Amino acid sequence: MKAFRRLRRNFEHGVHPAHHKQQTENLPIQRVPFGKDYVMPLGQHIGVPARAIVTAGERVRRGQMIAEPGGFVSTSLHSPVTGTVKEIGNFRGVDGRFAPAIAIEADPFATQQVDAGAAVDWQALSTEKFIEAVQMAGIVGMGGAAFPAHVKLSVPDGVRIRSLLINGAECEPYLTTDHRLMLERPEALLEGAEIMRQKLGAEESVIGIEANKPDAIAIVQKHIQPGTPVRVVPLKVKYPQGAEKMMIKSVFDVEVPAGQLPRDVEVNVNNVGTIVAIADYFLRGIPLIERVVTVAGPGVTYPANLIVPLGTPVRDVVKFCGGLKPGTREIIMGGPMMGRPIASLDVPILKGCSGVLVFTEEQTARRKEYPCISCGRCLEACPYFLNPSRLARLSKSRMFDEMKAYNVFDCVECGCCTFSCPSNIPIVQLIRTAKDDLTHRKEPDA
Amino acid sequence: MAGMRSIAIHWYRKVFGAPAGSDIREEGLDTVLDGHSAVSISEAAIASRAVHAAEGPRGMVAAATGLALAGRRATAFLSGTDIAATQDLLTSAAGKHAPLVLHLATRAVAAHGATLGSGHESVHLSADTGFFMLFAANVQEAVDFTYIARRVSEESLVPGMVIMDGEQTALAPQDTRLLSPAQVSGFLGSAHTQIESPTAAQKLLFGETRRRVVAWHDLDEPALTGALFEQDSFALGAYARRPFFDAFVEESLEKSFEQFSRKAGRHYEAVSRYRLDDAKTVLLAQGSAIETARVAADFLRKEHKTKVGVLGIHTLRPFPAAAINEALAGCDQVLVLERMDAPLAGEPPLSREVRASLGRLGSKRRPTCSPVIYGVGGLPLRVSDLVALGTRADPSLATPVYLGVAFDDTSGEQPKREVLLDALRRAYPNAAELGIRAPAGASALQKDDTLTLAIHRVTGDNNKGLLSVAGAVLQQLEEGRIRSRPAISWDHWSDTRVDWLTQGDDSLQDPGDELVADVALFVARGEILLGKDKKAFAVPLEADNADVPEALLGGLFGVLQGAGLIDHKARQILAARRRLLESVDSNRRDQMMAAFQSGLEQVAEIEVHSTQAAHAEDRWDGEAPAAVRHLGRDDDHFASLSRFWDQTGVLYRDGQGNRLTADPFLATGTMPPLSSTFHDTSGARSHLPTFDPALCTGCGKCWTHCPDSAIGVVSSNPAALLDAGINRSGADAVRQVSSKLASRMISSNRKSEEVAPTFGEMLDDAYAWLKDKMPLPDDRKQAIEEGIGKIRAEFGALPVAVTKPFFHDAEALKKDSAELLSVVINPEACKSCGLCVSNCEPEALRRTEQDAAVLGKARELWSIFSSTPDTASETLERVAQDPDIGAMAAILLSRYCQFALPGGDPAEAGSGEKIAVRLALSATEFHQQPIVQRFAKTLAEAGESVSSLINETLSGTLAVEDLDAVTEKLRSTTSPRVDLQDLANSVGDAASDHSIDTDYLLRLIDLSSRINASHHRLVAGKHGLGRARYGLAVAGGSTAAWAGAFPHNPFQAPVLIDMSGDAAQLSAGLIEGHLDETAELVRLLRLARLEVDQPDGADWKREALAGLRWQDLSAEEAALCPPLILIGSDEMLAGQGLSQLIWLLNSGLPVKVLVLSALDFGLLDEPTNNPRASLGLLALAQRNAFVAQTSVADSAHLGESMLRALRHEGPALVQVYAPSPERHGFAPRQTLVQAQLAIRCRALPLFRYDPNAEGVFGSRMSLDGNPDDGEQSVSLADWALGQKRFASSFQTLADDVAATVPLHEWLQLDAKNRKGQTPCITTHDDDVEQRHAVSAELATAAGECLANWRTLQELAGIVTPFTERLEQEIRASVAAEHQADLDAQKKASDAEIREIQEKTQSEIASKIRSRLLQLASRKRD
Repeated sequence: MKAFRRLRRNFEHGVHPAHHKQQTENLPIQRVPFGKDYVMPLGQHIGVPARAIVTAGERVRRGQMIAEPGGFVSTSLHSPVTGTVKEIGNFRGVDGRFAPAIAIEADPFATQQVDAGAAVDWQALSTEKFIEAVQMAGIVGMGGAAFPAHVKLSVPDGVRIRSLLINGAECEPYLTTDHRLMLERPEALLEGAEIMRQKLGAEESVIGIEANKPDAIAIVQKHIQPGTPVRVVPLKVKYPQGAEKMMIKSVFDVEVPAGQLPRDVEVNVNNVGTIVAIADYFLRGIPLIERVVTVAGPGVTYPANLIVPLGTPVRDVVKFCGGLKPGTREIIMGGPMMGRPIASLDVPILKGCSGVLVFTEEQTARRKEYPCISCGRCLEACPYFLNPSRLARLSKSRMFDEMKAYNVFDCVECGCCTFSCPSNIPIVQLIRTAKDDLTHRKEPDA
Repeated sequence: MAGMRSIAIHWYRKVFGAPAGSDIREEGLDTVLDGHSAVSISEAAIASRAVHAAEGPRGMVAAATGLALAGRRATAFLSGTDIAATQDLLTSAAGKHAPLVLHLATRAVAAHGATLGSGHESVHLSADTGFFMLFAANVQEAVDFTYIARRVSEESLVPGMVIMDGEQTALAPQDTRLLSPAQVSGFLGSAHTQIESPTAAQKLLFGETRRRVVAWHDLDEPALTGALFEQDSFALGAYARRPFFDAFVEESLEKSFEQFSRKAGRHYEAVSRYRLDDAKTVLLAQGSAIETARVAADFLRKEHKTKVGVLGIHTLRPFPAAAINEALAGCDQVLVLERMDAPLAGEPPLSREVRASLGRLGSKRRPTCSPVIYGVGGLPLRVSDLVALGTRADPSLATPVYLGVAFDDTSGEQPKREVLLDALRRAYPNAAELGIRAPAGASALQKDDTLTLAIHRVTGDNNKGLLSVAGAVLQQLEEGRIRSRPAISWDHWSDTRVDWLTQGDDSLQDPGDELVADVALFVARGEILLGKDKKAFAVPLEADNADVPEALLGGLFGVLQGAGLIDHKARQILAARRRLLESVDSNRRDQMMAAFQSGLEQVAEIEVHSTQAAHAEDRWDGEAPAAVRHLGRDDDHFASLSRFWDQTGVLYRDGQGNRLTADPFLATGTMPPLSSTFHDTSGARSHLPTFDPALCTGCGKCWTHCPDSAIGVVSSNPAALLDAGINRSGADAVRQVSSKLASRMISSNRKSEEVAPTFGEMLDDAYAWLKDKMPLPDDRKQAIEEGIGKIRAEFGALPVAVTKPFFHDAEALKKDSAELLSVVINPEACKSCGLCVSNCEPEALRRTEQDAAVLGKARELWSIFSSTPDTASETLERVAQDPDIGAMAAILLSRYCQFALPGGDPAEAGSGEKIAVRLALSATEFHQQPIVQRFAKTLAEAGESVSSLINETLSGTLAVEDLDAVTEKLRSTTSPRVDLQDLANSVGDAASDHSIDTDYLLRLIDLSSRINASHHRLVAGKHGLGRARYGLAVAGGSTAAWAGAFPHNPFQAPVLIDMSGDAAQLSAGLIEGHLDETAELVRLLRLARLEVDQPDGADWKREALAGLRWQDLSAEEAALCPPLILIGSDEMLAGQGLSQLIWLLNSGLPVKVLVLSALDFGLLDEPTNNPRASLGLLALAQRNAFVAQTSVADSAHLGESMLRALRHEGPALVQVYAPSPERHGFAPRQTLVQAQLAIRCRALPLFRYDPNAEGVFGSRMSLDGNPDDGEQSVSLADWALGQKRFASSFQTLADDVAATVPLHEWLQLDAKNRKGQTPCITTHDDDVEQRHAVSAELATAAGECLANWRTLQELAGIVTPFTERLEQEIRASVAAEHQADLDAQKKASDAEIREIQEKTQSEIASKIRSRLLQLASRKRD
């Protein structure tokens, strides 16, 4: 029976949204031409914003560090282009709020070669130095949350990591960046995996890939050097297969208890993009200055998978893809389930931005909301076994403190509840409001 | 260094003239020779004549055919490009059954561009001409096929062709055995002997026996050859060829192969089979690729366990179809290696033929057949690529597949290039699969028992010979086989190339390109690197020693011996080298051996040092070259320099040119303007001139004669300089005192003796004076002081010279107009030729050793220079009048003209061609700029007049004459804005017409926008440079090698490089295109005038204008067309292209031809196509063209000639002697001295002929600028003595040789008295007198030069051939008259005297008588 369950490679609950990946899954990654203006927000991830170490008017090279970490839960920033620092000031961010950022004007004549350092001799680095190097390279989780990678790597004494789990599920609809990375750079992925595995002291690396990407499974499988402790695990196609706890459940059949971290079950989970970024830094000396972004959705003329320098305005990216079709209503940064609509086309591409999705009227039409009929579908869908309908109701009544009792902070905002709700109640949005309110209220206390 | 070729020829001559019992062995001579030399030597023994030079390739083939038809053994050497031009001649020679053998080296035919490398286009072009064709796989085969082809062609009466691959065989030294004389005569027999007629057809034609070499054009058997037939009779003859003649060739070949094998021991067949018995995959190849394919097959069998064999085709015609079928039956797949792509064809030709012959096999035994295209244009053929092909090969291979090239590059180090590659990937997703290219690193593929040498040399350093000599010494020591690959390139300067040599035992096959060296010799550094042990050695060298190559060679063998790579004692090595030098005269040999021995003994190990760090440092500064920034970034089209920089320039900068991938830009063969400026010459130079302003006199010689535009010059007054300094450093606070500072700088320098050498110091002095006089608050003073500091730091290093013409003379004319002169060296362009240093009389420029500090300083100065202002045009006009400076130097003060031809190209250092072209282009810029400005102004005015017409038309619809009504209406409306239409409706009376003629208005608007667009293109254009002021065409040859070498384009005008030899006709086409374009602009101007002058009607006139052609333009309008400048060597333009050139000079088109003469007077060892007739005189005979002969040594004359040529509305010819240090053999700094000598010895006297000048023919000519006859003491021999190319025309004479006459006296002698006398010239080196005997040819040429000079003088009316005789006649007649006068006078006076005497006598007599009578009468009384 146990063996049978293992074969399922599954977790309980979850939903099956249409994956919409056919638009871009066969398009090779290509580079966006360099534009003129770049904006690098200092806070691109959870945690403390970075501290600028350049001044306005300074010449910077592509790959040069322009901001250092502002604390432990913080990473550095590197210039995505060779050019001149125009200004350090407040710029509009994804959420519409103004936040400090470094604006850089690219030199139109620069060759934009990376001023890369030499490859780092990672084998000689101690674990602390290695973690520091990851922090200095500005690497964050590339899956969407942009959680600083080095924090995840910092394992307290006494805790042992047995498996490195590499997340190639990419369960969000539309997005194909991880898929393409696995197809086009399997060597880098495996090299990065080996670096991480050795540095974590793990026994094996497991690459989890959803079964709807057989080509990726085959290619990665083919590139595995015989004798290295790496295996590829095909996973069932289901949302949110890519959420780390779900994946651990699917791959190892171990549940991470609420409030605990994967490391407590001796697993470390990292996204494919993160692993490739690690390989790029340690083997080629290139810090995190660009990332792969899927531009897709019904509103975009030429969907594409692009290498975009960080800080490129969404406007430039969309322009390269042939511009917006008439009737465009909304542009979402990230996946359709968890991403956020952007307030302006001038918003820059951030480290955590895996997609730019353009939706037209049809997809964004707000359907009429009906009262909750207590059907229980959201409970069935919630992979964390929460009670979304209750949380939504409490949030509507602004009873945020009460929501804590319902483990609101266990919610990963995967959106399964909203997706499954027949009454069109925006459950996850309501929960998000509550979480926002609670976290922002917490700050003065802390 | 004694080249192997001359040594081998010497040996061979020795062989043939050798007395019995010499050491030449029966079986021939073992040696190391490149294919070309080996075949030349072999042919020298057979053919009565090899046609080397004639009027182009057609001439060569025709002459050889003529010789063959007359029954001689003739041959000619053709390269690939010649074949296309001679195809009909080949067909004709074959049709006439001329017993002829031609040699073909497979240089690729020029297409999108030209290359020196191999390609088989010409092979297949000549395949159907009726010649039988033997394709040699190596040098030995080429030699043997030469004999075999001769025998077969004489036997079968079908001409033959022997083919070699270019740099793989024809130029590559390999081990060879030449036949002995006995073997040759045994195999070929004598041309005259009678042989038995070999076929029945021949028996009918000639009887039982015939002459071995049939003479069709025979005085003894007179017959007509090449009759004109009717259709039916022609066809009969054509059809009769195959059965009665051609069918015999195959049999004859087989017989000859067998005969040859008996005589020489080497056996050949139509095809060669290698490991075919069990092969599943067969590589089918021809030429040098056969050997390389065998190496790949061995490797594939050993390492990959794939059953691969090689089928080599050695006789392409007759095509060995049966042998191929027999060899291929039963295998799975044939990969046909083709050294060409056949555009638009289904398959390349060899595949087509192989497939056709396979078609005859039964379908079960028939393998699949796929073409593999490799090595086009000499692209390296690597074994690793063949292995990659062999491992990937499956019957479904893409057709055709390109071997050794990449269509995609995923390494992604140049992000902007990646964007292009991505765009290509998006549009052509499958392109990457077209190419097969193995990753670099082929070490594992090489055999262990071979020795591979790499010789890294800088192009143009004359060390080409090292490769063959090293091979020859190795072969003397080790025997076995030698294979090599010489580097070939267009470049004459600074690029490093690698020659490869492999030595192995008798099983060695050509291992292809890109090997891993066991030992590498770095010629420039004198270092030797041992690959296996990573050890470095150095040879101690004395600089400027002529025997450096010998010492290096000695060092190389020292290292080989030390490392145990060769197992010989030093004594044996020395003996081997000495054997090779047998033919050299003993003095020279001893010198060379001494150098060789010192290298051998003194080579010592040194530490390995890395040069990588310095490179990384460079990167940041050199991000984008100035030209890229200057030209701006408009778009990414094919002529965009910034695109080229991002996609191609960066690769070359990083030394990664091999990472280029096939793309549409490369397919067009184009380069954007000014790309040569990417090339930084700093690395390839050891010295750099530095400038000392204190000594400069401002004469202008340095910046006029720099071939590479590496000397920047600006003259500007201190105020302008200070302004530039403020702008550069951002020290705006200084602005308020700048005028005071500037005038102080002038006044203090006017008197003072001590002059500050830099602008910074001068500024400091002025500020020190001003400091206390400033009535300013302290904070302002503080700001000014800081500003001065900033200027000093960022601009102060600029050297400034106070000179008489620019400073004192200007100040004398007008107060405060003195200017400081700055001369700055561009370290990225300077090639350190030394011309400027040796030309600078006051020694203000000095040769300085270049180290990091000197280079850094020079770069800083150049950066400062780029922010200085341009010299004012008033200054330019003023100093042009100054005789010490001259017009050309003045013109070059303008930056437009200064950088008309920037540096960075691969021309040799001190190139005379570049000086000439640079001066000519500068003068053209100077001449055309005002014309363009005038044109732009006219266009702008026309545009304005049309737009005002539009405005008038529009406003005219409103009845503005009734202003009161308008006012009332405006007052009555309540809204702040009013609709024009409403206003018009309500104001005008209903009756008046407010409508607009839409056709008329649209026409005007269209016209206006077209005029404005034209104006924009003319003055700004996409790059901000405006439309080019002239067009350029470059005829192939030495000029094209630097002017068009990818990726260095030194021009900013459109250029066409022509390699076809028809540049003159091409230019005519180009200029007609430009004239058409001008006509279009003129039409716009005329239309605008028509619309303004005659607003109504005149439709028919407009329509008439639509048909305006350039022929209809007035002279003034035609002058608006940018001229086309055709540049080329005399070899290309006045040799094979002479008839076209003469046609062009009579065409009336505004083409200005700049001929760069090499002046070799037909005296070289290897004859070229240089014309001996004086081109200047020939051009004069055309009478309507402007003609000038001028010199780089007289820049003013050159500039003036060019300006006048441009002013002349028709064609012009300007001929310049272009001394070439490398090709002519003298030091680069001597270029101007050589040019000066050429004028003085009358090799190329200066003259100008302007058909539009006043007067008659003679008076339109000017010979100004030539030295007087009285000063003339230099002869052609004095000029030639300084050049190594003429070395064979001189012989140093011992002191005791008598019977010599000084050359100038010898020239005076008549033919009878010259006999037995040796002309000589005398030189004085360090007070040692030395006489040199001059060859008769040179002496004759010297006489011709003087005769030409005299002809010119006679034409100009300075002397006349009648002078002396007339003078004598007049003298005689005057003397006669005088005598007659005298005689008459004498006669008259005699008569008078006689009369007086008679009178006196009679008087006396009468007196006596009367006296006597008186006495008598007195007596009577």
